[in-house]
Amino acid sequence: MLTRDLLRWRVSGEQVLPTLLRMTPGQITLCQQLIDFYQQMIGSRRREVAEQLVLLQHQTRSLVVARGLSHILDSAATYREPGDSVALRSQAFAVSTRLLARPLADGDAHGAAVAAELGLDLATLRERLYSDLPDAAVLEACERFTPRTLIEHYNLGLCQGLLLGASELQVTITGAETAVRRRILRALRWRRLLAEIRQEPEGGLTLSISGPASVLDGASRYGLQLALFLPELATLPRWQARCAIELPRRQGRGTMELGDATGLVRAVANPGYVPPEFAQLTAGLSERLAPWTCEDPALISLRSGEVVVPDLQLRHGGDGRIQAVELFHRWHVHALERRLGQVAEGQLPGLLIGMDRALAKSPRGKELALHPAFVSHGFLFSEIPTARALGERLRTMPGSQAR
Amino acid sequence: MSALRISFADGTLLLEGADAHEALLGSLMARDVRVGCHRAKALHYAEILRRLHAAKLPYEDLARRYEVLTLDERHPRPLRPYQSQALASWLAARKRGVIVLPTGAGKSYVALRAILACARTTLILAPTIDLVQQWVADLGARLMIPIGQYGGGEKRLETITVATYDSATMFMPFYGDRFGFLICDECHHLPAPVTALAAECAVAPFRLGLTATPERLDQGHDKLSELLGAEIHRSHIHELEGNFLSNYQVEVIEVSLDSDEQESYQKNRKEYLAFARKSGVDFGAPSGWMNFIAAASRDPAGRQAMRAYREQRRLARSSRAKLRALWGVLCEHPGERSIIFTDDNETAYTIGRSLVLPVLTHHTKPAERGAMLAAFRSGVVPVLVTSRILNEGIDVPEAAVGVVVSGSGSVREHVQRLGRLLRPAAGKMAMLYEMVSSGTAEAYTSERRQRHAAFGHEEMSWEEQGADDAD
Repeated sequence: MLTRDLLRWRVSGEQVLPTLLRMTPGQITLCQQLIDFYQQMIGSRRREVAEQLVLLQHQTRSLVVARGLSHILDSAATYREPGDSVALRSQAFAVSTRLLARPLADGDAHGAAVAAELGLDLATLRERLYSDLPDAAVLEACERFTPRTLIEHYNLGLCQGLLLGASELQVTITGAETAVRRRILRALRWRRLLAEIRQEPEGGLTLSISGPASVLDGASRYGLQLALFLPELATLPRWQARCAIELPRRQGRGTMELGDATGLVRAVANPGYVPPEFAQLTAGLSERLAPWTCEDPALISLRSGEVVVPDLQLRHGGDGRIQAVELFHRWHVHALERRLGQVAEGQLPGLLIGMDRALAKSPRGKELALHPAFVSHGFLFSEIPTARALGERLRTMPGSQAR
Repeated sequence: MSALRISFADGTLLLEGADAHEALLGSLMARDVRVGCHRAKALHYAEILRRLHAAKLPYEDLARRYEVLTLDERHPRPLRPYQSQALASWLAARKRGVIVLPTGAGKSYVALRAILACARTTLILAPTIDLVQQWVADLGARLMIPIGQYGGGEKRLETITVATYDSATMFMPFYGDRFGFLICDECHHLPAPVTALAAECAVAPFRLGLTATPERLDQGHDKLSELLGAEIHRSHIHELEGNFLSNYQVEVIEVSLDSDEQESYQKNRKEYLAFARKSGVDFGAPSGWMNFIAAASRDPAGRQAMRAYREQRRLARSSRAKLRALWGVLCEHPGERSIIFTDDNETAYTIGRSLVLPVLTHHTKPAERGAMLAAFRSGVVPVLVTSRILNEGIDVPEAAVGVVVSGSGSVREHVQRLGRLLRPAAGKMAMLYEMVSSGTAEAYTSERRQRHAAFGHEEMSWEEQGADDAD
């Protein structure tokens, strides 16, 4: 993600247009120069990299673009921390303190006297005394970018940087497979964002995404979560997003529109943020819960237009029964309450409900654990459910939905 | 009509069954269609309950998770008169409000008495890890109970917990219901947009802000009243000097650059100012500096102007003449506990390398930082060089000599630096030296930061101060 000082945009009326980079010959050349520079500097200290980089950046037409591209490269580079000089400092300060009690004529004489007691010359002592500062870290490796992937990272990072000033995101998704939509909606939940989700009659989804307190003020406190969510949208074939943003450096407000036509590419593999422990659980479920098998969950649309996004879906190998599972963590107390109401009304007959023990310990969680719908359809888990707890619940589940 | 039920969720309050109470609570809540009920800032918990009580309306409170405590102080000591006044004002203001006391005047002891008076699960927020650790050690010794710490690699909640502002903004959505009393040390940090979440997401009905310098250029101090309560007590540094704070003297040392450095300074200054004039940059305007950066990034001449600007600043901050003068000050105070302040890390390390002195910056790793501060407090190491890390809060009562080698024009920073030296001790006369390179822009910066009663000058309004003070 680009930092505020590296963001470029222009304003047209009320529209904020991020100044994206294109694959022009000039930009390709600049990217290649910077990529080559980082490869050549492997083995150099961070200070040397920075000093040389400034010279290269100053030869370019746009310093801000060059610094933005360098930021992407540097963020993906690995530096080796220098060996520390703590022991030398400890010795040097002990000597320096003793000599300061009867100070010499000038600072150089003092430094030389300290160095002599340590068996060093003054220049060496000064060189080594603070040689373990971050500037002395050594560039060890750089990620292998091409000009194209570097520009893709830059453009996504630029839009993410501008999104930091957003308080809410209006998104329309069309034409994506159910599995992809489910992944997007689940990513929202893991990012602790709230969304009003509507299934459109023609098949699309509209989402108003923000955080819990956004109804109370227009503050952009969820900008970071929205920015981190943007790469998920960039994986979709057809999408539109619109948001009001506060521009950096108090330069006013405007509306930013992004979409598949913007050409953003999520450059990192493995889209759809899911905690690794959860991925591990789903990978082993089919084996541990046989004859149940784990499959991609389908979205469940309620009559009201609300969309339920299960975390898991299990199919019985014998009779074909399908059992969806939705998990509620400590920040989902109200969503859980609403879901239990829907289950009690018979709207979601095939849904198992998991409640995180951290939530169950709260006063409201304790009450919800006694809700008839939780007693009949619920189970407890800690952070991530276990196959054992799921299996136990499946065995005692009354009348699962058959398809 | 269903009973109103109030619960804590994600750093906010959910109010179920509040539809009928729009007239009473409308200004404090908003309808949230995503969850099908009303939502309010956790900050407004006390006010919502107060209005419901006054209207004699029933409600179910599921939000509060804090406890009533029984606490004892190990060796109570009498409060000084101004401390008693401050505490009484806070109690009279329903245990909410901001107390303004000079550094060294014993703010944390007033806070301890407030904790005892409040007797609720308490969270104390401080801006740095060093300050957090200082609070933990002090409260642990005085109350003889385990004190929780959140931040700096620790995540331990207790009935009394100390955390950094940064950590609190992260955990308050989860734990904002667990504290009945919120204390914000150096509370002038609180109104910054993200930091304010630490107070907004907490239900704590009882709140106390502590600071020596509440005013902020961005008018954020107005927000302190909303987050913590109104300012309810202020004592000035000159009211306490001599009785409750150490006597002190301030001496400005003017140094003349060596001729080659003076020549280079003038040349570079002329160059960047010429570019600024040519580009139409007005440094007197609020956006002057931003405009200069923007203009400087556009062409090679601008980049050269930026280099010239940096070079003349470096010469003014850390010239050879300043290093010689600094050595002279150290020679005048051999063995005395002295703190050398700089405006930037580069100058601090230049001094550290030249004179073989310990430097404390944000680059110093926690173990070495702790060891350095302990060595300084015990007198094993009598001199510390620092950029801004010791500006606030850290308790170094033994420090008697301060040398400001370079600094911003911020009055707050200068007052805070003086405050490091003012912990009282028998016969102590604190000395604050300020080094100014004569014939450079530092003279103007120095004049600006001294516009405070503590330095014998009329105080400058906060609006007059320019941009140096913004957080």
